[in-house]
Amino acid sequence: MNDLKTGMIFDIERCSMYDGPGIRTTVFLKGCPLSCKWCHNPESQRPLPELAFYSEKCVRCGKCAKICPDVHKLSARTHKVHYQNCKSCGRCAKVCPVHALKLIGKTYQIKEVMDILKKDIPYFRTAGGGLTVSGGEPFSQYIFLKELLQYAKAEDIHTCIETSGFTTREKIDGVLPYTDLFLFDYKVTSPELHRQFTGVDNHIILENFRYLYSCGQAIILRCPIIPGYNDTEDHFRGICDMEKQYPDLAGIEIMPYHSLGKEKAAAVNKPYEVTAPTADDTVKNMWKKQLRTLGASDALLESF
Amino acid sequence: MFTNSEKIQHMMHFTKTYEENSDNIYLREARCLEVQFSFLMLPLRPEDLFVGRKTELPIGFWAQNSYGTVGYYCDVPSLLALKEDSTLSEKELLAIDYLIRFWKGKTTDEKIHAQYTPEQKKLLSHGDFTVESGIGWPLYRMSGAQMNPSKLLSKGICGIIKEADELRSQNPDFYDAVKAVMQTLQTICLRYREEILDKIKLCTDTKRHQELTAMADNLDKIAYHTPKSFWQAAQLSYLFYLLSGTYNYGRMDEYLGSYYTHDLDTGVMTETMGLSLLTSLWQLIIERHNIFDGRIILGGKDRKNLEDADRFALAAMETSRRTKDILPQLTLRCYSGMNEALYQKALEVIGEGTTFPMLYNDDVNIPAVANAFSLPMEVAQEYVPFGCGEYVIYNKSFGTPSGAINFLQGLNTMIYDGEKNYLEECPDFESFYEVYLSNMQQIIELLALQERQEYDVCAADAPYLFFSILFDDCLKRSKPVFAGGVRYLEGTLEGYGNTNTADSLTAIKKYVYDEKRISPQTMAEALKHNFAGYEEIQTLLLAAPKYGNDDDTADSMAIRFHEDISNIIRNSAQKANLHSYLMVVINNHMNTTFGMTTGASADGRPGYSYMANANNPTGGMDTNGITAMLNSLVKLTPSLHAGSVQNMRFSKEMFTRLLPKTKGLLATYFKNGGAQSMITVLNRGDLERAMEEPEKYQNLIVRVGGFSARFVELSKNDQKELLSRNTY
Repeated sequence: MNDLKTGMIFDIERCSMYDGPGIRTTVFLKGCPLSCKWCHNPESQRPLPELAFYSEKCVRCGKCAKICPDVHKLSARTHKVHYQNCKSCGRCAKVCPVHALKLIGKTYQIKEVMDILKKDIPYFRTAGGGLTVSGGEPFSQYIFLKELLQYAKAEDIHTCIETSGFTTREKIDGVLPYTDLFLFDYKVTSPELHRQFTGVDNHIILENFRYLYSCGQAIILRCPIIPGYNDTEDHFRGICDMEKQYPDLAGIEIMPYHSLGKEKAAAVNKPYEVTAPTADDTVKNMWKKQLRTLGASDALLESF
Repeated sequence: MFTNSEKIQHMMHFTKTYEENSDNIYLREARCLEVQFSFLMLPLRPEDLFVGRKTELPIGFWAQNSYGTVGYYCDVPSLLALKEDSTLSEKELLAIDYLIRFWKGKTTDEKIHAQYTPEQKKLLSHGDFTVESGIGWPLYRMSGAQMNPSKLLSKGICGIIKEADELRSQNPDFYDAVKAVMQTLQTICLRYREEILDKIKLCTDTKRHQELTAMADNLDKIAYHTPKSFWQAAQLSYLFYLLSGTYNYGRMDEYLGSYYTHDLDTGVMTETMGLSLLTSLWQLIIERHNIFDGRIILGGKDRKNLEDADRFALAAMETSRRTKDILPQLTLRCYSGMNEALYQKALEVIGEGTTFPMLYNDDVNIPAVANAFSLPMEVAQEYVPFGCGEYVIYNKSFGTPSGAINFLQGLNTMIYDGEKNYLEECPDFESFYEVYLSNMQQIIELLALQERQEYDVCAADAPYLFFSILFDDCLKRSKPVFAGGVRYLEGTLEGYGNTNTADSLTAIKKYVYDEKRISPQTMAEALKHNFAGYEEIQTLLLAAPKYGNDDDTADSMAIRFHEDISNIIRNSAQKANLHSYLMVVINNHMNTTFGMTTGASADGRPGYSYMANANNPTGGMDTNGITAMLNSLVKLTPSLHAGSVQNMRFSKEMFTRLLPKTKGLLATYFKNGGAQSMITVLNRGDLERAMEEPEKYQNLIVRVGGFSARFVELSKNDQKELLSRNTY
């Protein structure tokens, strides 16, 4: 173990209330092998630091262009960012007075992350929380992930991984002794659609899931539902089947779509094709009705 | 209500009474109060279940009044305004002139001014702090009396009169005056009774008829006997508080709890009736409209009638939940081992956006008070906050904050708003900081002396009879409250700009001294020009570490300044001959008032804008989440001052779906040393305000879909989307 080991992190959120039980500190690792159409953290996909530009905040002061004229081209009305010229040095973001520019991704040593984690240990203890490693896909930085979990466990901190499940058996075995809970994504039931919407096959994912389950590992299955993509009867049935087939799951949660990824994708110059609005109560109630018909439990229905 | 002619006539009467009794301060106050109350008491309103309403005139006697003066007062601008009434006769206009002439030099405020040393006149600020800038400001009031009415309830009016009779020989003038004001109280009860009897004659509504009959009966009883029911006890204590001039209502669960439960358990009163009575009482407190006071204290591990008091406390919280007003300022003293139902109820009420009760942590506060006030634990456990959050010892100490200090203005005068730029003079941060503290010390000592002078002048001017009747040990010692009567005569000083000062010091140390990135001259010029043309300097200053993020650099400076300044104030007590003199880091809106007259500061704060509230982080500068903010808060020890306020705002969801987690959050904060918590739970309208002023809503957490986000970090469109949803 070496706490000087570094990882590429794009956010650390203290007092996170939704990434597992209790009060948690969530560490978001950069880099993901999937490319889900609805990704709500598009800035997490690339493994290296990158520039984000939030055009609506820009006041076209031109300070960034002075630093990096090859990247920032300004006219009276427009500010065009030439991402291909960007070296991700982050100097432009430092001078931007309105925070329209931001360098996404920063190198942290494990020690630095642990120092932040330790500050909230009393909260973890009282409210039953701990560390959640999220992403991106945490397994994409396996060595860092494993050692971070090890250090956290050495401090008796509850640990949780939020994963797509797209990784290898070896890596899962590697983190198992140091992981208390998995938040495991279940995105699409149909293998073909899974490939189409996320860019990868779900065969490995399901295999990993079954393996984890067979190990008696605590798992909460998390199911993002995207209108027009996976809000199908087939997938809803798949979710209900999972519930029946794996009665010892720590929970199944439906995560209704929200459109936040759209603007973030634009900020990092990534395409984004979902056009549906954030799921409102009418949509959610419709899903609940369908799921109920298919035999979903009350707990599942109350999860959203 | 009253015509201006009637007001003038009354003020003439009051003035004449004052003049005729000039040779005896005891009798003078008693007579003046008799005259004052004969005129100022207002009739009951159609829904009222209690009597006791009053108004104020530009001339009178109060410990604390709406004109910001103390004792005998004469508000000249209000008198001059009366002259604009064209219906007044020539004689009445002349009467106004006479009144202004008469009171010149006789008001308590002016007598206090007359005591000031040349140094106080020069170095303290004496103008209007809402428009002028300054550092140390004397205030004029004897506010925050937190009295225990139990003695009054157990003895009754007649019992107090009897006590005064028995003690009379020790100080006849004092006890005669005590008797006289108690008789005045009796008269007021009877006069209200007459008013109600008249109303009964005209009342056709059966229910109201019954209520009025009961109220008349109550007043008849309490005029001559000890109160026997909850209704009577609440009536008598409220009336006493009102006449005394205090706006704080003591530990109500303790002094009313046993009456309340007795009446419920014996069927004298139903729970519905109990809540109606409390609601009516709350309405009278609301009408007094002193939003900075109005404290009702509940809870506390030292209450004698724990079970009864807890039952009352639940009813009081329920009343506030239903009332949803800014008053009364319900305060709950919490402690490990307390009745869980009470805490649960408190969170339920807070969760509805009530903002009350405010939660105080006995486990931290009792030892802190013991240390700060140099008192044994058994005395410290009787601490109660009053007003905006200053601690006093219930019925045993008086601790008016008769001064306010603007630390940030003090710092600015050392850089650009004074005679010279000490950044140039001082070779290192330590020497700069030392000069700053010594400048502050000079002003603080003058303010401590001012506090003593204010007490002494008040004592020489009047016995403050209502306070002297209840406060330990005034009657026993035969001494009025401020003349050696009250057991502990304390003083407090309101500190403002603490956080901005600490953050400014952090930035100065970092940029001017350690890194030398900003020269002393540039710093002074940038601040002087309110950053116009120095935008980059401001960006740099804003990027310096800030208190409230659990950041060691910023927080260690905040701790250092907090402890140094608290100690300077605390150590000024002896010189001023006060039992204690302590800083209060409380929360009225003077952080804004002072901020508006304070130029740009080295923390990057633009000039003439609000300063951070109490010792909370500067709005928008706490960006590491609520646990980081709470961790920073608990680093500032409460054991050196007389109270601070910790304001927290939570989203509604934190008190519904996430309540178990929020309970864990608060429990940890209290366990880590959190002294108290004032919680706002936000509603829909708040999101709109958060869009307009995002810097103030950094910790507002919202549920977007399957995840959460800080509202202010969402794009405008997402914010609008959230706004479009119903708030449940």
